[in-house]
Amino acid sequence: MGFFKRRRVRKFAEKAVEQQNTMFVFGSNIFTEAFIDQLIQIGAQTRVALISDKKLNWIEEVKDEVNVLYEEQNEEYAKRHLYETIGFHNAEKVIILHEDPLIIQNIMSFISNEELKVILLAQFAPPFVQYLAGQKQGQIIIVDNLNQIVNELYQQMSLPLVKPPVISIPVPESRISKPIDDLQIPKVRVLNILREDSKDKIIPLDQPTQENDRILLYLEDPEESLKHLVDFLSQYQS
Amino acid sequence: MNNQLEPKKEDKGKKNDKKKKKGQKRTFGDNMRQLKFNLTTIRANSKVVFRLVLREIKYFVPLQDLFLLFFWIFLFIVFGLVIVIWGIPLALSIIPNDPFKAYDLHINLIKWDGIIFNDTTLRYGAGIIGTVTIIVRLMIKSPISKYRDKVNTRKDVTYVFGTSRPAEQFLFEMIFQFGYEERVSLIADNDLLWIRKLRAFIDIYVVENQLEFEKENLYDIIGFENASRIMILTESIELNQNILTNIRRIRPDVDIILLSQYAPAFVFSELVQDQHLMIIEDLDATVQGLVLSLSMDFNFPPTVEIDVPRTYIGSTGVAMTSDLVRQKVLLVRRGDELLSPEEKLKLGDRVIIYFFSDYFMKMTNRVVTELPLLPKKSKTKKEKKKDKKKGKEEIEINALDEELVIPTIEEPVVKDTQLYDSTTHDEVD
Repeated sequence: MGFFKRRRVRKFAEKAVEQQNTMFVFGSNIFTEAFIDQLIQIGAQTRVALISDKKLNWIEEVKDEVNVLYEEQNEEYAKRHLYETIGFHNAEKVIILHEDPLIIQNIMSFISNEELKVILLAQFAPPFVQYLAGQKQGQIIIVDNLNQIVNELYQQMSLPLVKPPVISIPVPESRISKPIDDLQIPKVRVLNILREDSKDKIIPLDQPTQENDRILLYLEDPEESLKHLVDFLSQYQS
Repeated sequence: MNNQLEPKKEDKGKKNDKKKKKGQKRTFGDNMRQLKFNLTTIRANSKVVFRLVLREIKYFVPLQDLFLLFFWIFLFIVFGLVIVIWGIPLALSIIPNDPFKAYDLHINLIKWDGIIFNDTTLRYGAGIIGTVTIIVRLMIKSPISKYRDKVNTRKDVTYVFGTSRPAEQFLFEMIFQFGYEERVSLIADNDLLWIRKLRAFIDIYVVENQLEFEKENLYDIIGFENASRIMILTESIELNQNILTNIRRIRPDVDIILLSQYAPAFVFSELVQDQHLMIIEDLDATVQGLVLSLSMDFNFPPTVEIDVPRTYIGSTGVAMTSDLVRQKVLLVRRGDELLSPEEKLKLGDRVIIYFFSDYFMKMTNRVVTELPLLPKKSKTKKEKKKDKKKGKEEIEINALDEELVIPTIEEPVVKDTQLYDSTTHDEVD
């Protein structure tokens, strides 16, 4: 890394510390653009730092609001110096929206902090990362956008079959080894406990839960149910 | 007193436990229901297999003609050889003065063998075989013609363009999870290994050169006459644009589905007013998922909502779970109402199933798709006879009315009240 480049990366890292950036987003594609736009709309722009592989007009437009670093050389993503210089001091989440599996794997291999949550898109997640996500549940989150896309395709097919709004979430830590039959979330129906050990098992809610168990939920009203669910989970986290 | 009662309670508890255990055991009725469902599954499967076999026969009919041609050519050659090797020498041996000279016949046969199997005839033979091979090769169809002929034996096909991840997942789910292989066909832009897995199930055409998508020939040859909808799912915006414009040229009425992340910019223009163009807002869905993932780790388990299979109407979701292999009924939906699986299932109910195995899900879904139950019950023979009789009577009455068109004086209309009065009056009398 040359002197000027190192200075640029350091400046970015210092700004990230100053602004207390907690989310580091890698990428520059259409998903990155839409995601950054959404975060700006929510008012979370000060929490975001963007590391882009391309100089694009939309990034120039958001540069005043979001902390941006351009790293156009793909080789740099395969070297430790970049990550060491950035530091990821206040980082809580790293969101990788790259399409190139090599860059994704490089970023993943150098972000080894266990406290960091890594978020990827299923559409671009390489098989090795998918395997890791299975091993490190909760730390590596793969957003299943493919499932949503395919659901939309099904709706266009006019089949006598529907993919229902059923999701699974991990059991809140405070409820591990306790039954969860008393869980009540507005607009959400708690169905069963899903235990994905050697054999997939669906267990009734009155049984005590275990670590790595997930709760099966039916969302009665997809938008409102999700809001209630987020509120419910934030209560448990707090 | 209490001490004396306690053991009784325990006994009661034990009895309840036993009852529970007994409840878990499958009764003869349960087994019969399961057998009935399995038979229904076989029936549904055989229906599909029969349809597929018919389709294959339909496709192979032109090949049958080719086979007949070869068969006749083969017979002709054999016939010719028989005449040349045995027929002519025999005739020659018979024609001379002494027809009983077996020695001459033998000499003639050797002579003819030498004439037929010498270098020149062998060369000619090789030449003929080569020519026949060339003709055969010319007669064999090109891959695109084969694809067109095969796909045209189906009705209402959804054509999928592309080899992107959404296309892959969609096709795999359609084929292996839900058994709708007859409804889809793939036109791939790359020859990938996962496509070869699907070759046995659906009609696939792999374009050798992606430039073909720009040319009109591809679309003209395939025709897309049986297309119910077309999903353009390639990862290249340029390719999508070429496919979209060419399809619209030959089928202006067909539904075209595009993903917003790969949709060409012109489709968002106000100038484009195409009612049959559907753009799936996958970008919004993805961003929503990303934003949601910031606060929670969620995923979509393998679940599906289908109609209640015919065997389980009047039964419960719990019974269905105990009968089905590696599937569990999570919920029952009756209209907008969500019910527990313990509820008795009715016609028109939908069940939400979690499935551990794609294969068994495919089997269950096949029963629902192939053997759907109509909302109205079919009339019994007696009812049909009654209806027929009624129909006949009505026709007769109508015919009489038509015949008796006699100009009559208008009678005063008898009101209901008057009728009532008269009857009451009669009763009083």
